[in-house]
Amino acid sequence: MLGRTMHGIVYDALRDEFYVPQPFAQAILVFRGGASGEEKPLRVIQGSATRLSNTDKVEIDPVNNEILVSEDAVILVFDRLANGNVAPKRHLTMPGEIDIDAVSVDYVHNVIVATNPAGSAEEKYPRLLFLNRTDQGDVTPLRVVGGKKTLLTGTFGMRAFPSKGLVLVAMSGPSTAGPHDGSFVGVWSTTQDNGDVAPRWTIGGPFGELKQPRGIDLDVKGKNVIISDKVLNAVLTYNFPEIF
Amino acid sequence: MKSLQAAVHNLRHRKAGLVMMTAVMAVAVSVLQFGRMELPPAGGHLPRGANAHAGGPKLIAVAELPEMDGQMCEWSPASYTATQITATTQSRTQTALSDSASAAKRRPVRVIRDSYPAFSSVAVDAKNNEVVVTDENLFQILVYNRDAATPPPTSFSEPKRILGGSNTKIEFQCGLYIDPDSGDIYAVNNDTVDTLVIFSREQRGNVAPAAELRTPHGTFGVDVSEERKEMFLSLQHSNAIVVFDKNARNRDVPLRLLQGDKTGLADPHGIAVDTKRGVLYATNHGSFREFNRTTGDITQTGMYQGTFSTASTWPAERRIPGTGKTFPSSITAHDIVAQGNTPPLRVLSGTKTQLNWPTGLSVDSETGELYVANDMGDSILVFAPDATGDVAPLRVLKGALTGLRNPTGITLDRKNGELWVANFGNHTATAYKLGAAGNTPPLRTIRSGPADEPALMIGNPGAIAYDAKREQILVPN
Repeated sequence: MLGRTMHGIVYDALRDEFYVPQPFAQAILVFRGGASGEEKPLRVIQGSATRLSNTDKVEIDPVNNEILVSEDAVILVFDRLANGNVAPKRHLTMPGEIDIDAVSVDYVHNVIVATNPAGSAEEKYPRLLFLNRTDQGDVTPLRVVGGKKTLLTGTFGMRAFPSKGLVLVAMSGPSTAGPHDGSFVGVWSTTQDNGDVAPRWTIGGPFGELKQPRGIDLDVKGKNVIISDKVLNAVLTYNFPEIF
Repeated sequence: MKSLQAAVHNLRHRKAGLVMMTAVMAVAVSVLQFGRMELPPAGGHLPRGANAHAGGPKLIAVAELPEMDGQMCEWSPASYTATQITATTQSRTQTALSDSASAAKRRPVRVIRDSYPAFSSVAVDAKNNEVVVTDENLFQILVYNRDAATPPPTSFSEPKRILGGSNTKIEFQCGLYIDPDSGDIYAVNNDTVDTLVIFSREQRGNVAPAAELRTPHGTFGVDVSEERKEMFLSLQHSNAIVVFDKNARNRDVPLRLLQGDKTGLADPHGIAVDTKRGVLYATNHGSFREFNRTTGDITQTGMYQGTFSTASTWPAERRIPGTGKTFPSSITAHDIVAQGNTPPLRVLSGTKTQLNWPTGLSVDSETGELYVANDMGDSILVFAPDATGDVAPLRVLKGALTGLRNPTGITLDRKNGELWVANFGNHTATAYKLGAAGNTPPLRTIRSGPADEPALMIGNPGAIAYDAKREQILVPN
């Protein structure tokens, strides 16, 4: 049931499962860790009740047993064990139907972080929206990071690091067509940063190896940040003990 | 552009690693207390502006396992040499002392990247005795002599002409067509540049295309009916086929559109037109969602030019939530002039067909036989012209001797009686006799990389996950 276009994947280390969004079938697929070959998913969320539409990226909250999916202007939240044609248990939207792309959850500090690629009506810079994890309905962000100092441009993938209260954001710079000088992975605090603040660290750039970073994950034991890059068609591992 | 399963990279089996190999998960979260999430009102929605708390669980405490910064004995694989262990330790010391400015310039300790071209589609210029392939790894189009072959000791064959670079707009080119008269190369992009690029035979290097055509987002396959002077494109993202005038350029719009829940088109990839019999074929991977023009969410509109058009022959691109379905792989046969939401003439699908992510497609204009590059089956399937339902192929080319590995592109060279395949999984384009079947070796093989160098099949990696238990990186493509 996998497809040839998947822009998200997340591993649940507590239960040894991984989650993949399948946009062309409007589905969330859950596989056992170590799945190989043509193996059936353990669970599939798909159908008319789900409200799944683009299903581009997915996040798992292993502590609070929730699956989060960004769908353009809404964040859908499913029960972790949801299976079949089931409705989300709650959803979050923001006034003005702000577009949402990636979503990540800091379950330690109860913060959902969402990227807002298009920015506000006044300023077109991409933004990071920090939401109360347990909110639902039409919500107001707790904090918003955005502006020139943030260097946020072309946001794509994101990964929270809950135990340290950090979030890592991949961005491809002002133009996906290049030059790719503005590409990097930026690190912000999920609990403190607010407004037009520079990233605490930048990884792989600007003016670094990264051309169009997309996916991010952390090898905590090795103190490594692992990044996929679309232009390089590569997976790069940065040893970055500062954030660990 | 391969499946997840094909792109799992095990750290243990990679050299050049400064990655610590550990057997224990790095962070284990101990949840001391968490309660039950309150459910929202019926329907799952709160009124807008409610900004309500779900009243749900709060994490009370987190306990990390001890980290291995020298306080504990670090485990290293037996295969680690003393030098490797020393290098690892030194690297940690150096990076820990660096400031944030230098951190931005820090180089990766490990890069997983295929440095060789990965062929995804293939076409033959019989008039000029050349074979043309697209390379989705390094973003190139490569031209070889048709009779070129890479002998086993040789690492790879040098192409006689290369197109590539930012001016060319070549990235993930997945479909090819060669004009039989002019030799012009037509190539479509699947995901990142919504443009069909056309190059003349004289062009090479990092040059702008001789001509361009804006295409709907997610175009995959291309074929042309020279008799009808029409160009057919399959659209993976919007489950559709559009038909352009062959000479359409720039922002011209399609002549016809085939799209809708009755068409049988579901994640279409390859496309082939049999003008003689008036049939149009498409391979389908099976994923489906519905679109319309008035409600729902618009799809991504293209990263370079924007693709949305209000023309009635432009595919509907507004997704209808909750319409997703998953069907078995199939080949749909349509009337060559079909348009609108018209059912197919025939559908090939089922276990006997052996279809498993059928991708590239080509039709024999003389016999009407249908040739399928069966990506996940590592095979070439050949079906009778009137095949329908769950039927076995007439011939199957498959086996260790064939050199087939994740074949995604296929084309027929009737002039020379050959079948060409682009193998995304092993850096090769392989040529066979037209009637080849069984475990038959290729007549010739063009390799773009050493025979013992694995093709990583990382293509447009949009995400990543680290499986800490197995120390594996999962890369969906």
